[in-house]
This record gives sequence, structure tokens and C-alpha cells, in this order.
Amino acid sequence: MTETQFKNMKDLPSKHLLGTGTSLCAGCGGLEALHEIYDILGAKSVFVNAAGCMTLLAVYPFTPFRGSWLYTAMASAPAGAQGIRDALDILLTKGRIAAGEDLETVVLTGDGSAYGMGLSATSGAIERGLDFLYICYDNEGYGNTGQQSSGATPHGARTSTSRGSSGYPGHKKDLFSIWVAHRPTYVATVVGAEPLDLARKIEQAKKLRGPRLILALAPCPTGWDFDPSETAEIGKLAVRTGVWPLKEYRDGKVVHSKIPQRRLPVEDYLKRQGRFAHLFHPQRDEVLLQEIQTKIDIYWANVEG
Amino acid sequence: MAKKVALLQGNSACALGAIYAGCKFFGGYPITPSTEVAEVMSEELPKVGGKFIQMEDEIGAMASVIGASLAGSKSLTATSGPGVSLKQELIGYACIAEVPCVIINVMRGGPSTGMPTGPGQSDVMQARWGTHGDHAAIAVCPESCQEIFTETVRAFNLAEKYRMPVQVLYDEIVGHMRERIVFPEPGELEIIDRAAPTCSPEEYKPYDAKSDTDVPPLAVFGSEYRFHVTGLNKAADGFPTTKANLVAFEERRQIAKVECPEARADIESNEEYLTEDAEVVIFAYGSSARSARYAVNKMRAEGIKAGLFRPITIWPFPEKRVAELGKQVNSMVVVEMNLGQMIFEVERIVKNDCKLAGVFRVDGDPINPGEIMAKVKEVL
Repeated sequence: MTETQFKNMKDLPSKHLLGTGTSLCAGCGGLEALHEIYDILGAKSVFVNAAGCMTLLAVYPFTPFRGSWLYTAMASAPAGAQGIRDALDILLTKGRIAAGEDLETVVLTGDGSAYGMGLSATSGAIERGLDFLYICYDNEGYGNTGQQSSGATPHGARTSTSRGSSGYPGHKKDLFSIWVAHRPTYVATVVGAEPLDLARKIEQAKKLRGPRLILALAPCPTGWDFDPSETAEIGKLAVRTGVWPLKEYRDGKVVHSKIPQRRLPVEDYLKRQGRFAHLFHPQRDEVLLQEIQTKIDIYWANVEG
Repeated sequence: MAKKVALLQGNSACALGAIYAGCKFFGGYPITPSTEVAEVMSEELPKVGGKFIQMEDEIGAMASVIGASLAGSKSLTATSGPGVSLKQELIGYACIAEVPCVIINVMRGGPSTGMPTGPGQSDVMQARWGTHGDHAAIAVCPESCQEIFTETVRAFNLAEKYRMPVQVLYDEIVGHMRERIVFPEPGELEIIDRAAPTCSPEEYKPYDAKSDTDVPPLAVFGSEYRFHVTGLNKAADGFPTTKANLVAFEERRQIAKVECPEARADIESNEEYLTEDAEVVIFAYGSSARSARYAVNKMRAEGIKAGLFRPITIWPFPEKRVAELGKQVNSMVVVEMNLGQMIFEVERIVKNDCKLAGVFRVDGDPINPGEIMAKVKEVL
């Protein structure tokens, strides 16, 4: 890890920038991550959003943000960011704003847009070397419309459009690798339940220029079916079972920021969530459970060499 | 034997109507207020050997529906607002390539995101002219959960018969409302399947029209018939052409197949309520017609000779009957949850034959009978 001001938990910001009292669900893991990210990013940022849960952050006549917000079309948030960044650059060049007044252009979308409809626009923005920060809060489904499956839904999870006995038949896209294949400046995975790791990564991203992309796992009590008080615990279990590897890409290399020692069995994570209940009741689906565990074991065997 | 009845949401009624019509493929994408159509189809289609698929976006959903239809499945998609806008290119594609399919548009406020959980009727002109280029359009607009079921069945029939996309438009109120539905028995409603070619595979041409209003038979990918489908202007054999006479014939035929008098008479469907002796007719469709019917009853009790004209098929526009009513009545009042769209069609037809006024609303609340009555009393 490079130079950081966040050496331990007590170095983390103690005051939150993002306003409270939003209309999101209690225990939203996406909001948890956004709180922590915004604290590090600071108020000088402009957000570009595509339809999703976070679109509901502003409720008439309030916004929890300190700055401006553009909610654009589902497929187009990184393209909207291109326009904003270019026009800010024009203002800078003409001396209409001082360098210290410049804004960080931040794209904030859910996995529905990031893994699916918005992927082409993201690809274009990275290819053009757009100086922006993309934050995807990944709750593994279309949460805002009632948790239909998305390109981020894990194999076997039950969603409102995959209600069969084996859950979602597809496999979660490896968006981290798809982003990395474009060779942007920086890519990282985070989860709100690991705030120190998250803070260091946002700190890194903030120092760099060019395309920087953050994938935040967003445990979702409503869509994943667990008690809202357990969000942080579910997030930690995602890391400790190896389901959600914490890693970053920089200078052509992928480095894991946290390799779970004595990984817990994935069951410990799955059985806490209603969306996987059919793997355990009325009887255990040993085949599917083993399949999920094996995929994780293979991933970590490659990491640990 | 007693008929099967249920208390159902409009969106569920739509999905079950599609199954009744023989739909075997659904390609969709979640969007409020239409998502329940997809959710119910995801459960119902596997039971009848069909396939539900959630695509990566609205464009993909529409493309998959066209593909599935060409490979022989009656195909459906359902969407709302921005989703309908995204599908427009491929709706035009289905028009020119003559691919039967049904598109459900559960109308919400707009433009753009508008009010996703509020009702609207502001997509009626989009249903006619949303995609670029000259083309015919068929769209139906049910007012109740029962009618959503039967009109979805009819939409499939029209799509198959006229070999083109058919849109079913109903607003969020009817989509999310729950009403008693009486299920028709199998065979009770007519089910139409597309005409299959009778010629040999060697002789088959996918656009081989026998007249300038003909709908040629459509073969199935995967059968012994091989054919070429394209969004380019094409000749009878399906291959692209820029020959003026061939392009003009095809462009005109594809509109005439819907707008010739025989087809119009077949496709049109209107409800008339107390119009016979009416001095004022309210023109209303979808859920707005329910308020209008109530207003008509109240006004009749007050001695005002009011009636309701409700187009169930909104495209093609019921020109003949509206023209007749225009000559009969003193006034027409168009009621719609937009800022005035169908009123321009009514105006185009009735011209100066009667007085014309509109009751419009786009604030997310339904139009209430009191507003309609006030407007009628103002114009009479």
C-alpha cells in the first residue's frame, strides 16, 4: 500500500458530508459505502447518475449532497460525465474557474446500469481517457424495481425474475476484469463494511487522474432478504468467505488488498440471506453449494499461487 | 361448469392474456410500472414450454422478440416510458421487415423518467409516429383488467394476421389496479396464427404480395424455407433494393394492408355509450373513459344528452365513426391524461362540424368526472 493518511480506524473521518434522512431502505449497503466514499472525496464533486436506488436520494425539496447532481439516462451516465468534464476544462482554460474550484466528476450508478446497459458508455469513456471516477454500488440486481436479476446477480440467487428452485441460472459478470481489460488508471473493489480499505482506495483514486473505477459491494436487506441490522456483518462475511475479493488495479497489475486468512465456508455467507434459502430448504442442494464453493476456491488458488 | 375467476392486477391479466393467445417468448427489461408483466411471464412461460428472458437493455429485449418471432414463437415484450423510446428503432424494423410481435406499454408520465409510479396517456402519438419513417400502426387501449386480458389476445391476433408489431397501451392506473377477471375457456376467444407458406421452399419469397394490400405468408427460421430479412428497403424476395418502383410498392403496401377499408373494419373496435341521441359526445380512452362514463350517467340524470365514444383500437384512428358523430352532435369533449394529443386527430376529422374542447391532465392524478362535467357545461 502506498502512502496513506488512513493508518487505522481512528484516522477515518468522524463527520459525514452526506446528509441523513434519505428515503433509501434501512441498512442499505450502497448508502453505507457512499457515505464513506463521499467523506474522502469531499464536497467539490459533481455526481452523474443513472436510474437506480440512489436516484431516490433527493426527495423534494432536499438533496443529501453538497454539490450538483445530474440524473441522466440509464445507458448514458459516463457519456454525461464526458460533457461535464470537457465543459469544466473549458472553464479552467478560459480562467472562468480557478484550479482549486474544479470539481471531481463522479459517476454513480447501480449494477443494472454498470454491468448492463451502461457498459458501452463506460467502455467509451475509458477508451477516451476521460478523467472521472465511476462508483458502482453493486447490490446484485435491479433493486429499485423489486430485485430482478441483473448481470451482477450471483449464480443460484433467487430474484423476482428467477424464482425457480435453482435461482438465477447465469453467472455474475466479472466487471472488475472487464474494466481492467480497458487499462484505465485505477480500478478497485470495496465494501462499506471494510471502511479502512475503502478509504485508502478512494484516497488513491482521488490522487490520480484519468478513468478511475470503484466497484462497491452493496449488501441489500430488501433484495437479499436479511435483517437491516446485519448489513455490516454480511459485508464482512462476503470478504471473509472470499466471495468478494478486495483488490485494486494500478500500473498494469492487480493486487489484493486483503487476502482472507482461513477463509470461511461460503455457506456462512449464503445461509444468512433469504435469496439463497432454497439452497438449504427443504433440503440442501449439495451440487449447487459445492459448485459455488469450488468457484471461490479456484479463484483464491490462483491468487495464492 | 362455472368459469374460473380471479382478482388480478392489470399487469398480471396482460401476462395471462398473452399465454392464452399462445405467446411462447418474452424478452424484457425491468421498468416501472410494467415490471409485473415480466415477473408473471417468468413464472408462467416455463409452464407452457415457453421461454422467458431478461435482456441487458430495452433494445436487446425488442431485438430478441423479433428474433423469436421469426423463429416461430408468438413473442411479447412489456415496457414503459423511456423503455418505449429505446425500442423505437426496432419497432420500425418490425414494421418494415413485417415481423409479428406485441409490445405492451404501461403508460406513465413523461417525457424522460417523468413520474414512474404515476399514470399518463401521453404516449398515444408516440405509438403512431414514434419510430422514424412512413409506416402503419396498430395500437389498442384497454380500460379495465378484463379488457387488458382480451385486448392482449386481440393484439396477438392482429400482429399475426397483419404481420407487424402491435402495441397495447394502458396507463399505470389500469396496470396496477386489481379487478375481478373472468377467464375465457380455451377456444372461447378466437386465436389467429400467422399464415404459413403453401408454395415449395424453392418458390418462397417472404414479401411476395398478391395485391397492393396483401399480407404475404411468413415462413419460420429452422424450417425448410430459407429467407433473408433486413431493415433495408427490399423487394418481394427479401433482398435489398433501391429500385424506385419496388420500393414505392412495398412502402405503400405496408401501410395499405392496415389502412384499406377492409382492414380498418377488421381492426377497429369502439365502445359507444348513449351516443344515439347525444348532443355532446365525450371522446375518451383507457382509464379516462371510466371517469367519462360516470360523468355521462350524472349528466343524463340532469337531463343533458351526453354520450361516450371510446376507441379501443386507437390506431388506426376511427375516422369514419368520429366523422359521423361530428355531424350529429353539438359538441365533442376529448378527455386524455396528456396536454392534448388525440384531440388533434379528432379535430382533423370533425373539422368545423361541431364544437370541440379538451380536458387534459398531467399531474399524476386521474381525471375526475367533475372536471369533465364542468367542461361539457361550458361548451354546450
